Amino acid sequence: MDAALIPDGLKRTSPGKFFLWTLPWLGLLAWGGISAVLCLLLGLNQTNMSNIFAFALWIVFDLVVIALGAGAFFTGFLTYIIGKKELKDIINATVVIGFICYSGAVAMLGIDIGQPVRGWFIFWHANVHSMLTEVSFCITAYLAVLGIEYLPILLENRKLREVREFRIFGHNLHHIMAVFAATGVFLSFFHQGSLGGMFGVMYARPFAARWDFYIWPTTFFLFVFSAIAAGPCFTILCTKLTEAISRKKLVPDGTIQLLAKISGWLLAGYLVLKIIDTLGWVHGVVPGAGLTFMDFFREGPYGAWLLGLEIIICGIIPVIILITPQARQNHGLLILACLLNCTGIVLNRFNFIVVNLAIPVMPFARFWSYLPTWQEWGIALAVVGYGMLLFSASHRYLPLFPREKELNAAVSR
Amino acid sequence: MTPLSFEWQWNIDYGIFMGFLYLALGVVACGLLVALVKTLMHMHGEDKGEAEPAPIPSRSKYSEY
Repeated sequence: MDAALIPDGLKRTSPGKFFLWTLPWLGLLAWGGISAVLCLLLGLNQTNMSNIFAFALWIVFDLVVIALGAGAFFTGFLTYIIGKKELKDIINATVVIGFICYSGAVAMLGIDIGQPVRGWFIFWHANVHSMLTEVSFCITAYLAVLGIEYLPILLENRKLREVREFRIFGHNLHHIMAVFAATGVFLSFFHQGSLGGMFGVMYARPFAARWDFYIWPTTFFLFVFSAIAAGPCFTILCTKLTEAISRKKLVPDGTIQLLAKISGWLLAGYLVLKIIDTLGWVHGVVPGAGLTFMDFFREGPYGAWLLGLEIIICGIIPVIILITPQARQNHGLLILACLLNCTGIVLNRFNFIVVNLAIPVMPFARFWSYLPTWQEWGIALAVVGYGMLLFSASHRYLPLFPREKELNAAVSR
Repeated sequence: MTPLSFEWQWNIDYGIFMGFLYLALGVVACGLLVALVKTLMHMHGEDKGEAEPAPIPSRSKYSEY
């Protein structure tokens, strides 16, 4: 039925099976759609957000997907600016993953702000002293860049390629892709950093506050570093999942190994800085606020174990696996390391958002708890559904992995 | 916000913040414009029969880019 749209020489599952595969993701989208309508019609009282938890599940999801989507800008930087040619075998997939992550995050923010029709206020009536304004500018501008990077991939569709104008336009876009990649690096660097910087300047909340390096708190650099360390691992996970589901080899091992090695060394560098920062915070910022480290964990379900889990289990263990050639060549260990690395970044963002807001800042205040409503879960999980649908459709109809045909030649024959 | 908006203030904060945004948007817009103009020129040249169209490598030869 859709054979004319499938790239030349590539085999794909039948339309019926593909439709069945999309059903759970369409279900998630429907759940998200109902939740979004309720939030837009009835207001944010559909959520368990409050004046205490103004940042909640949606912002955790936002920060996580934006960090995991960093594989797009960092792989683009390595490919087009540094000249790591091997990564061209995976760059298309990273662009699509980045586009999904950023468009999902922006869509979720559209609901989160409560009145999306006034979303443009942040651009027109900008508060130039706010880190969140910078984040908004950079995220939306970078989404536009990702859209432009996605365009030549889209125009390579078998049917669209028959239109000569599209083919030439895609080709011309591709020739100046380094310009877009460099702009993307600039925009990504600053919004990843400002997302972290925003927590570092919460001086009234000693759990998040850090000292400044020039005008930026240390969390500015840690957020950039953690995102570029985890992003490539998320790309590897998505690629390996696609390989497992399609039962095909999509990317050469050398490319995956290179990406894993880079991610491992970046994670090692990040962990060194994170441990120094944490020790400095425990012995500097926290006593300076008249507290001790354990004061943060007197009540509630969260504890120092979360920090240990983030740094030791989801930090040091994946570093050891990823920087050891023999370990990362083991398929199971590589997947484990990538999963732990990505879990680490989820925990990091969770600590800075939910744990940070749950901890009382006044001696007479109590510990606050928060559980998301089904509407909040619906909108957050809709991003997962949307991502799975767009990535599946891109894989089916676009030459997402340029070496797929060559790597599966023996099987095709 | 532009320098013509009523909230605009002529100081370094506004210059840096909005300047970098417009710089990034300008680079992206110029990139798109260049690709579009090159495409139009290519198509126009072909119509006149002035130049032999350059072969467009397919995505399957991605590594040749």
